[in-house]
Amino acid sequence: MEYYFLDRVPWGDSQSLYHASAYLGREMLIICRPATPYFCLGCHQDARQEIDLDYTRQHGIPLLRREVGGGAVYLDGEQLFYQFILRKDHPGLPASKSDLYSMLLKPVVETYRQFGVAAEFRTVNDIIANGRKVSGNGAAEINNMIILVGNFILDFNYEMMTRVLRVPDEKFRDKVYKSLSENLSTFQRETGSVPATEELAGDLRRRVEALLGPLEEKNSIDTALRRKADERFAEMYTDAWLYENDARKERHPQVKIREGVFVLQKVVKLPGGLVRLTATNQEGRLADVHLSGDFFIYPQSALSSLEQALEGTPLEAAALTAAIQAFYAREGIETPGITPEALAGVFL
Amino acid sequence: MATLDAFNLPDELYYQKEDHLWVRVEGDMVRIGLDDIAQASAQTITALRIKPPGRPLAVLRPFGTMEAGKYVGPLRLPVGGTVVEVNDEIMDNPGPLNSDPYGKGWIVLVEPDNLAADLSNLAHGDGLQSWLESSVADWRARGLLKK
Repeated sequence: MEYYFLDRVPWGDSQSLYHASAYLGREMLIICRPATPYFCLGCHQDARQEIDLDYTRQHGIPLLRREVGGGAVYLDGEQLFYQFILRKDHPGLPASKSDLYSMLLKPVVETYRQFGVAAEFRTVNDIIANGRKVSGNGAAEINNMIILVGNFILDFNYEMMTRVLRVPDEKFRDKVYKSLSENLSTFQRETGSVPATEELAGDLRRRVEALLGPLEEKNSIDTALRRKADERFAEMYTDAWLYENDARKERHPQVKIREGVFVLQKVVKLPGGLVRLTATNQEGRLADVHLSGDFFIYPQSALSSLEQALEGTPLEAAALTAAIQAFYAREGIETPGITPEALAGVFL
Repeated sequence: MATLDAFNLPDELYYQKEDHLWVRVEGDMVRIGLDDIAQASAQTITALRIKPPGRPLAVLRPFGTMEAGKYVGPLRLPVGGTVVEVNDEIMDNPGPLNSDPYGKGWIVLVEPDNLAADLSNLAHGDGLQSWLESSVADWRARGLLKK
């Protein structure tokens, strides 16, 4: 198995090299980071649905859709990528994806801990420290090769991540920013400093060797790998590839922050008027509920109390309906043309 | 119908043995989807992408990809031929892949190239029950199905 510690590479190489490795059927561990920022979409994501394309164009931020799963991410040199490319029949490699994540992320968790971050693996594919995600990971099978890619998040540009996402309005963007800040952490935030990338890479390499056997260190990219990486990049960095998934219907916006935490926004037309909802789905329960729209509620002052009353309510029809009905009965609320059942439906 | 625990394999279908895709013969065409074992193993399927119809593909060549748990895996054709129709309903909402794998969760309709030969390599008819039992035991042993 080959080992490449490349540190800073042209941004395209930080995606094309591991794809090339899979298409060539060569087992590798690549550790690198992009020299300049870009935005990366998951294999099945729609660029127009996920990204503010006007913003990325105006600011010259490149976009690439990878062949690996997961969501849209802002990537830059403050993240050090580890990229495992292994044969599907590599001795000892588990067949189940959850076992695969667990096995290959174990050395990553250990490296985090070695450098002072109280990291823990959280099924299926997250690494958490003090309740916050500190590493994003995705995987794929290509050409009978298993790819698992992820990142040590040294520091993070929350503003840019939030700014590039396509959202319905600025209130929603504020929610995403708040939720992202609360649920995603970094070496900088956890320890007050950022380790040298050489040290992180060296530590991870030793732990991976203990797990998978000796790694053959490579100091440069050979011609075959370079050619295949350039070929992959030429195919992937095209509008045809980027927008391939976009012919889909409009969906309810829901931005995943980490496993179990989503920011959601709904706009629903009911007989009594338009109801706008912004909230966080926190492990299946409501948080940060904000309701607005052109419907009537009596007394008017009750709206913020209703929002408060719904905090922590399970995102299930029966529980929501019961909570809204209880609030209406207790406070003597009226919303003409909007029944408690219909209002509960806005959340689902 | 072969049945074991929550897994059902309807008798009239043919099954690709490694990936657990089903094949239903419909006149000159075959309809293809995931069987109960494949959908249970994948757990909640969040997305899939199918190559555009019209291009001939050899048996076991990837005709698309499927995503669950941030893992993207290939969908391989159990019967060689040309995809003539894609189930657009599951492109927008892949839920039926899990909830109704033999009905609304069908994936593609294929015009086969060499149907008789390809079907002869698939599980069907006598022995389906014992194949289901050995498959479930094997997938459980490999961690691909919850015990």
